[in-house]
Amino acid sequence: MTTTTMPTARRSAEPTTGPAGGGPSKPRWTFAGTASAVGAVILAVVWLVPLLWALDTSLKPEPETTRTPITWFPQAPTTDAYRSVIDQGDLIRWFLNSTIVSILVTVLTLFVSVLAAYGLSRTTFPGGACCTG
Amino acid sequence: MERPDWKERWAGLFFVAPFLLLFALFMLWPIVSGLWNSFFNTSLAGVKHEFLGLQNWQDLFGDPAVWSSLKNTLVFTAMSTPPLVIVALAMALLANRKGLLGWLLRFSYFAPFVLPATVVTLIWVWIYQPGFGLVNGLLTAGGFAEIDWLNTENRAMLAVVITTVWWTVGFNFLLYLAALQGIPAQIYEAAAIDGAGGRQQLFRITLPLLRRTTGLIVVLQLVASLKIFDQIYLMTDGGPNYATRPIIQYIYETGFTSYRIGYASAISYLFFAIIVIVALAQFKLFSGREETA
Repeated sequence: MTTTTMPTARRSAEPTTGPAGGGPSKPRWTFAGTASAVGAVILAVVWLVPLLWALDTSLKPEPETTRTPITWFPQAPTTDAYRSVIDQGDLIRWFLNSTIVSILVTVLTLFVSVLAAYGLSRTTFPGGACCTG
Repeated sequence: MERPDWKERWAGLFFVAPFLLLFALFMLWPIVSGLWNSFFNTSLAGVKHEFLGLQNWQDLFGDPAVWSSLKNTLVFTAMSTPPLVIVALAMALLANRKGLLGWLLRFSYFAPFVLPATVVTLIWVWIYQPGFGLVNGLLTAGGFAEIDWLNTENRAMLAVVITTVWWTVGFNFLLYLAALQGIPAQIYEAAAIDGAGGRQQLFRITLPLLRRTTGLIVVLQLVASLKIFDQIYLMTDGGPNYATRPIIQYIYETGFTSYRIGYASAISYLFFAIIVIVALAQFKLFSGREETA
């Protein structure tokens, strides 16, 4: 994925000035820059809240999960929920099922599509031109 | 020495053969057999198979459930597509920065996308609960009246749309981010030298150069939204009073609850035609007058 590295203002003789809207920016204090950073963080928090709420709920004892008014911090944090999943559920089997499906799908898809891509792009055969535009 | 070797001439086909076989078996055959079945009263219940001609197709146009569920699908598409494009663009513009903050933003915006539908709906059904649900907890804390989101006819669809935007916006965000990072830095440098400020750079460079990506995202999103099923089936089961039942759920119920495969196939074909029309219209609309990035 290309998303883990950000483009730097590479090969530029001079340092760039001013943050561009969405473009690479040099840290320089501006009102717009700060406002967009604050907005970005607020949006990120909104996006994380459901995940945190689920995590939070998972650490509450059963009666506390349905208590009103709602509370963010479990009064009596517990790992009971995790314990019962591990004890009662057949976790290993479930993970095994997912793993088997993932591996088989990946291997078969790769095998079939690599062969087809090679056949279509590196060899010619009657009718083969149909799919390579 | 040239030898007309048939093995050489046809070798390529052997590479493509496994793909062709699977494609024919799992794509072409179901498509053809679906069309074929739509002219019969094919049933999963194992009764005999009679030719009906266009009866299924006639029934379909007189079946209010087809039109109401189709309307729900279109309403969902109309409600979910604009935020899924606009929020994704905003996120990409906001998260396209270096350093730890950029990383944290990209993580937060994309995180929900990796969850499966079952987990997402579990989290959100819990959040929408009356009383102890997070949303209603916040509403009551703010002095507002509680809403039974998933059991109120004109709220349930909105609730599903919110869940969907939260869940899937990360993918469009990723496409926009990749496009943003593909815009050469020199263009911004040149613009800065010419005296363009941040706002001008945004409206005169960034957004115009994202046009092609926007076209792609809109098409992909429209098709994805039209295929809505999972979240609604898991969150409301089409309720309350069928107010959120999408066309795919009706097809599913017709085929696998009522065992009417022939009729379900006819409805599928109607829906297929709509998706093809939407996709073609979009491609026509967005191709042609393009600046190349």
